[in-house]
Amino acid sequence: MKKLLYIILAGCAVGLLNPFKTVAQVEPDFTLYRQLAGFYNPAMVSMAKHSILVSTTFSLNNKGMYMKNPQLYASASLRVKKLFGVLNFSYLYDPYSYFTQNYISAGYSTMFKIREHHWILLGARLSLAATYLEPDKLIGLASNPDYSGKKIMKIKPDMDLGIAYKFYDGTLAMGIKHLLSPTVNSEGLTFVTNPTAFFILAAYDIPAKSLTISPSLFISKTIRWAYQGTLSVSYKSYVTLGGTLVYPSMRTKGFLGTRVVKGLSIFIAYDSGILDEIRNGEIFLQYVNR
Amino acid sequence: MKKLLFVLFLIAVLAGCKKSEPTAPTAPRGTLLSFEKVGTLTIEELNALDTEHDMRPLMEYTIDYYTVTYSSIYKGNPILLSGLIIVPQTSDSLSLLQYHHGTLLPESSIEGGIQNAPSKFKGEAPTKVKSFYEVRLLCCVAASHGYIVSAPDYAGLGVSDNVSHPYTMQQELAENSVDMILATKQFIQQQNLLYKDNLFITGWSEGAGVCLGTHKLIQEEYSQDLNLKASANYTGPYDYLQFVNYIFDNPNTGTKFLAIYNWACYALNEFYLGSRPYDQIWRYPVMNSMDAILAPSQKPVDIFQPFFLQMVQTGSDATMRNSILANCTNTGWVPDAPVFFYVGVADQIIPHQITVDTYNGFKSQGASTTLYEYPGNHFTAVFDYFFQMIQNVDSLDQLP
Repeated sequence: MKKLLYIILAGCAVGLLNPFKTVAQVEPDFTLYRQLAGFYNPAMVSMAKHSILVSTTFSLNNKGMYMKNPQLYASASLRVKKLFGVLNFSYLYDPYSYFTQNYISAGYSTMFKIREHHWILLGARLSLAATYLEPDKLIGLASNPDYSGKKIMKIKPDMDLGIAYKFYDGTLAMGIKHLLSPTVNSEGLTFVTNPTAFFILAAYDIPAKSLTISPSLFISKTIRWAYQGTLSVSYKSYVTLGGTLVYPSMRTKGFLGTRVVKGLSIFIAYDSGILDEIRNGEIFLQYVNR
Repeated sequence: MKKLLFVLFLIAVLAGCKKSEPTAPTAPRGTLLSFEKVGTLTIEELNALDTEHDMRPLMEYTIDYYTVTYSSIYKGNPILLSGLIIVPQTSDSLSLLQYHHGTLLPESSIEGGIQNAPSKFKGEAPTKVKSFYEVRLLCCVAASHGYIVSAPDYAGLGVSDNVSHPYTMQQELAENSVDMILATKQFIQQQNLLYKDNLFITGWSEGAGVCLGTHKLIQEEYSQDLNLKASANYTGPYDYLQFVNYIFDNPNTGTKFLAIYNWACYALNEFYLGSRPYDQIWRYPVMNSMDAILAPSQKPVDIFQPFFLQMVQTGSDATMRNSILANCTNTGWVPDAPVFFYVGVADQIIPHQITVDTYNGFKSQGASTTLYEYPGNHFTAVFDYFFQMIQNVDSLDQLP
């Protein structure tokens, strides 16, 4: 219990690091996409007895056009034998320059053994997307008296689905987010839309003596296609070191993780533009009780 | 806890890392800071390089070419810029022709990228069809014909490739252009070249916009220092409102050149709008100019925020509209020196009507201006423009 409390407190502390600003994204772009696979795909939440994770992204060097507050994602899962699967509850705080989204979600995931070492995982998640819109923060509307001081709050439902195939040490997974594509309109203008997004993950963990070498590919389609290729190396599950190349935004990412105590792991990640000087950080904490 | 402190320390160290940047010059803007002779091309050698078109009829002299660096300004601050100067081997008194190149994508690994910046020319045969296309076929040929030719790289290319290129920002680029002319005049003096003190300027596409912007800037601020005889502009985005409205007025229509319009919007945001948060313009993350160029769709409606498009279309985004108008080079002045316009009527990148309207606008205000229209497009009419431009410049150069 103390460990859980420690994680929650640490996560809150990280989320409140206000001097950091983070990069605005249409969809949160976590470097640690394997650790946060459940965010992109409800079938990929932890199947442990119970688990909890907290992750936050923040900016280390930015241009004015990318300033915003840190994103925060928290998730808790609980295995329920009677339901033959896992219940998952999550929260996302995702602020932009003129609106803030709070996603509160509940999901269910289950897995079927199709034969020895081969599993199919299925997951679904329902969300409430609470969007707090501040049109007068739009520079293009700043001088428009119709929007002066105007605030708009809209709550819309949303839904994610996911499927994954696990075989030996490999994973193939596909998730669909924002099936209901929540949209916020006002005075004939469309201000916010969460477009339906697709995520594909292909990963394999190759054991080599004390090491595990893990190549992975993460493909996402939000407004555009993006490809992340990652190679990571773990030493006896104690330390993990990895690097990622992102196309077409041409970014390099690196991450380092360690298991602090049994079940408790911490990762830090860093990403840097090849064509720009924008740099971001990420901190991830997870506790898993198998 | 120690591990947590360690990772936080690591983040702090990484945050402190910064890419190196060239030292900003302290010399006044327009000062020639260095030059280096790169090579010599005989008529036969130049002719062998120009495989795409027969330029031989215009060649008269062997040429020497030099890379130069000079001081200029960028976002109001000093910056070191580079360019190319090409000098014909003749003892005749010569005039200066400054050539402004068109779009070079801000990535060296792609064809048509910034590896083709004029200052990077080493006299090599083209490895790709478009390698140093404008330098080989236009700049070197104009020099071989008998002009001292200067070709600025612009900010964001050459020695300044660490900064964002102010793509199609015609006023900002005109400042760089004038400084290159001033630096070239110092080069001419230092090399003891015979100089007629006649200045001609020309350019293609983005370069045509810079060329007309330079004409305006010289007329307004440098008329005592620079004896501008004429400008010759081949299909530029002079009327920037008309240029960007080409996509904003037709948001549901796909255009394969949306990438360059999107890059122009990125530059407009960076240089005029005061870096408006990207999520107030685009529907996808745009962190650099390549993000803008690699637009995920050919339809504006897919990449721009719907409210942004609506506000631009209705004109209710006053800041945006004023920024666009501030980047126009076709209004607010009437050229004193002759202005030549050239355009392909089938131009598929910059609407041909922009050139026609700009020409008509100047003509109606009494400017000395001439319009040449050709049946080709943005690319295929280039040699019609170039041969006509040389003829126009020659005729003015021979006047007493």
